[in-house]
Amino acid sequence: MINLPAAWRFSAALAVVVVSSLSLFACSGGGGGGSSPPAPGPVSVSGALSAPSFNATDSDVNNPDEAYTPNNTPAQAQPLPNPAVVGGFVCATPTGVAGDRFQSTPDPVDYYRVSLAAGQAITLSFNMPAGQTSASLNLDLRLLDSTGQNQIQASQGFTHTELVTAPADGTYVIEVTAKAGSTNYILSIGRPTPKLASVDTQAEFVPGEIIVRFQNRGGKTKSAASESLAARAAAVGLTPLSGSAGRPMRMRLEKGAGRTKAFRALGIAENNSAQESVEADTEAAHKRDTVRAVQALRARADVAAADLNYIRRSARTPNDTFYSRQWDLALIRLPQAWDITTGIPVSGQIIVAVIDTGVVLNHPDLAGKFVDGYDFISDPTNALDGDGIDPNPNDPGDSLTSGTSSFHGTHVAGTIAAATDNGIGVAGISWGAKIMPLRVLGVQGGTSYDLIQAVRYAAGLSNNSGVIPTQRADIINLSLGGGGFSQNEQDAFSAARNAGVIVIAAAGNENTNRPSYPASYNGVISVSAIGPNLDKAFYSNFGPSIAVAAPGGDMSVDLNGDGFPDGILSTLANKTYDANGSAIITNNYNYYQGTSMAAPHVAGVVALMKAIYPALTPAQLDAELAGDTITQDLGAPGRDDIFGYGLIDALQAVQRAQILANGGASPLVLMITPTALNFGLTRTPQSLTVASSGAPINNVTAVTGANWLTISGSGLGNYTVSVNDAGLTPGVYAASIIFSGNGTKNVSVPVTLQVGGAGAGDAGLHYVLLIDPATSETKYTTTASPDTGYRFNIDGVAAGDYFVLAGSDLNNDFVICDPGEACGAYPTLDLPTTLHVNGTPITDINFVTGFAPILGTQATPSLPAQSYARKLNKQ
Amino acid sequence: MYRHLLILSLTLSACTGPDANRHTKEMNLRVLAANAPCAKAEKASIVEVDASQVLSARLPNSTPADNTVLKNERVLIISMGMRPTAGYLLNLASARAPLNGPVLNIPIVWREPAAGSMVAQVITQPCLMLAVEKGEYSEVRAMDQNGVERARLAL
Repeated sequence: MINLPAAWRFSAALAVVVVSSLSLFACSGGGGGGSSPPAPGPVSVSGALSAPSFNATDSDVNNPDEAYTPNNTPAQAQPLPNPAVVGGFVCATPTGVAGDRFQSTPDPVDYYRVSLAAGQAITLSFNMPAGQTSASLNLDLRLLDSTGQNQIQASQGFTHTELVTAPADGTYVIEVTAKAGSTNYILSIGRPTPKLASVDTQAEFVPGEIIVRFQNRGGKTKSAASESLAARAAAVGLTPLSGSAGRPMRMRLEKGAGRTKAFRALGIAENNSAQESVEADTEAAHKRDTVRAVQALRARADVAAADLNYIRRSARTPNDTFYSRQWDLALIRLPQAWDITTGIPVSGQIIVAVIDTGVVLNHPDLAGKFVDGYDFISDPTNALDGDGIDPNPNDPGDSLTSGTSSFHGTHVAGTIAAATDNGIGVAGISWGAKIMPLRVLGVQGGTSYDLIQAVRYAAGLSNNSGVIPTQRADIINLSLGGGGFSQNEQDAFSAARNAGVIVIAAAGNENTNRPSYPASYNGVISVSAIGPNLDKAFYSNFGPSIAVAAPGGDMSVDLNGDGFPDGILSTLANKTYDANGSAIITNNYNYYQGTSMAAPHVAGVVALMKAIYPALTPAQLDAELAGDTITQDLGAPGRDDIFGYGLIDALQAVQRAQILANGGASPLVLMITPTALNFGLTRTPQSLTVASSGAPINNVTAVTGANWLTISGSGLGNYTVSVNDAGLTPGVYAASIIFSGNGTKNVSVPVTLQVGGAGAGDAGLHYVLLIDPATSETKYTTTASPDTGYRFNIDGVAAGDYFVLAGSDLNNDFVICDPGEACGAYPTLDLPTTLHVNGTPITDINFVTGFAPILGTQATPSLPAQSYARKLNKQ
Repeated sequence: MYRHLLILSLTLSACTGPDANRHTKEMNLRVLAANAPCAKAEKASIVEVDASQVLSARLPNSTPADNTVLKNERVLIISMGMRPTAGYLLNLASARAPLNGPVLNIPIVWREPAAGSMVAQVITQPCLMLAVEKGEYSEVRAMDQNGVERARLAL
């Protein structure tokens, strides 16, 4: 501030006024004659947030503005609802940051108390920033008994995800510990899901037979009798078959009473579900019991190794250069399937339409694999080939930056049908299939309209190209997604299906159960992704629309130890520019990961089926999937939201095609949607639809296993499911509805209910921001608390356009919407839209906020989640 | 007279934009590689790597001169992080980065697929490996076309 002598002040003040006027004129860039209407005055903007009932917040986080209740001991364990998604914070050492709640004292452990059902998974996840290692940032998860003193299970790895599972119904204490570093975290308690099989179940094995090698007891206790085959078998309840002490022994798990004896000896819980009781004597159940017995044996301290007795067969091995790196093909038993067919049809050709970025038509490992295709990208600026739609589906690249074009369609096409056994490159799944390349994805992605045209072309229907292909496609592969539901798109896929085309789509990579399209359309087979260890790939979507799983890759690991990341290897290309700016496209091979890679595995296997049984219809394929005839079951028995009906199995698929080709029938199965019901805290009745995969099914009935669960309806059609929690104590309840019908296998629909529960709908203190969309600058800030129903009000908002964003700041870094913090946008995080403020108060800005179940599931809207990390104007 | 000079200087300072005296120096930038294999980060970040990593990231058809790192340069990798789909773009907006005090602001183009657009369902990790002229700066920030800071690195 300038201090002027008194004699100057008046004149200086006058001069400043004059000069200020001149300054305004000079700086404002122009005046001119005439007057404009005054800008509208500032007004208030108000509304309310809402957090899902299953959201809860750690009661002791680093932000001192948040309410505080310590949960640092089992006695202080914070009650949680079930299901729940909890946002929390821990720090192994004091943060040392002024203003932090934990500036001077650490918060290394959080305890929670919750009622769980058997099989429920508790997942802990946190963000691992670049540059951090497990030595600098590591959290552990433990499941303790209700006293909090005894460990039930622990997950103490070195990755950013930990998982434990409740072994039985009951009350538990969950412990989250910071072993190193400080971070936000997400604790997720999900629907009961039986433990994933850790045994390699996709291979053929002899039902009931187990190969066991016991530890040598040694020392003074060693005795020949106790280590004999008979003694060892008796100790674990199995029937001895062959082998002796000191080497692998072959034993058998019997059915019936023998099963009961073995399960008791091995500590396996019996009859966990009504469905298991119904199916106890089937071969499928016997195989499942065998797997469980192997798992139980492996957990014993006296067992060195336990395995299924696999059936080994000769398998066709192509001579392609990089075949040894294609772990995904053996995982779905392609070598065995190729013994039966390599996809070369008896007559004609099997065509798979790849609707994608186009394909590099001159790739040497795709030579001779094409039928005519088309480029349906209607916007020349998106197409990068100088024109709109045209008959050339060659992929020119989808980026103008050297080295960054994806050539995604080429990768997909290679997985399906790369030229195989030709001494170069990679092996395709169907050696004999032809690819119909159809371009819809350009530099800016694709549009709904272009996609519809491509689908119609593939199906042999009229379309904007004016061309009807000589032979329509048998299969359509869609390794693409985005956008919401479109009735026009649904109609196009329905038309394609009615024309006999089998449509397969990638489920999406957001690790969410929100519907992704086109995968979630009726009649489209949605494919989720697994990694090399048969677990769900970290990115893969899941949910009720998932029909089947297939390898999508996981490039963060190298589990097969071949020195390469465990992605999916296929044909690819690279585009660079020479000194003259001319594009140079180099053909090569490389790894990708995603549900984009999973879908073509299914498309390729279906092409193999078609080579044997060209008449295979979409409905028949649905029935084969629902009948568990062409998949290896993963996850929960039967269908589940993660793997659908299981991992596609090429060997079973071609064997089933042989049966169908010889006059066999597809299984008659009950098709039920949705496939599971979770009432949570709500009591509104829910609906189920029951249909047949083929001929009408008679005597369809439904029975429930709980007196709080009722169902009304009969036969094929709609059912209403109601719950009544009268007399139930607080906790989580799980039951199943068993549907049965003449000539069909039973189908179980799991139902979950929560009674009571604490912390429902609490995603923590929120900061509500109004953001200038042009500059991304935060213009206004206020707070919204769960204590006041998350209502907020911002006064004095000037006229203009704004994005409305809200989020929590658990770690007190003055940035909201960090990984592990709640986030929401108006009207939805998926698609935030501009709020126009123009002199009239706005009172209904209501939107949802909350934690994402697993980090990374925040939607990617036009304002991407990362850019929601806004500095707060906190004092 | 001094009164008028004072007022004149006040006027000049009132009219002068905030950026007039801010950028007195710029550092040179070169793209060494884009996309894999320089992509490893899970979230948006800037990291400094040893010049020896440039060879492994050599683009096809590049000349040795393209990949040489001069003694007065450092190698930085700007990453968008792991993205669930295709359609993301990370580019260098200019071959020169303005110095703002101790902070070097690297101008980038950062584009994401429009909400609701249809894209390939493949995991991508857009990134840039840059040769950045060394200078008297202790922090590097990646600033996109909208002035949004995307990542920073304290050197």
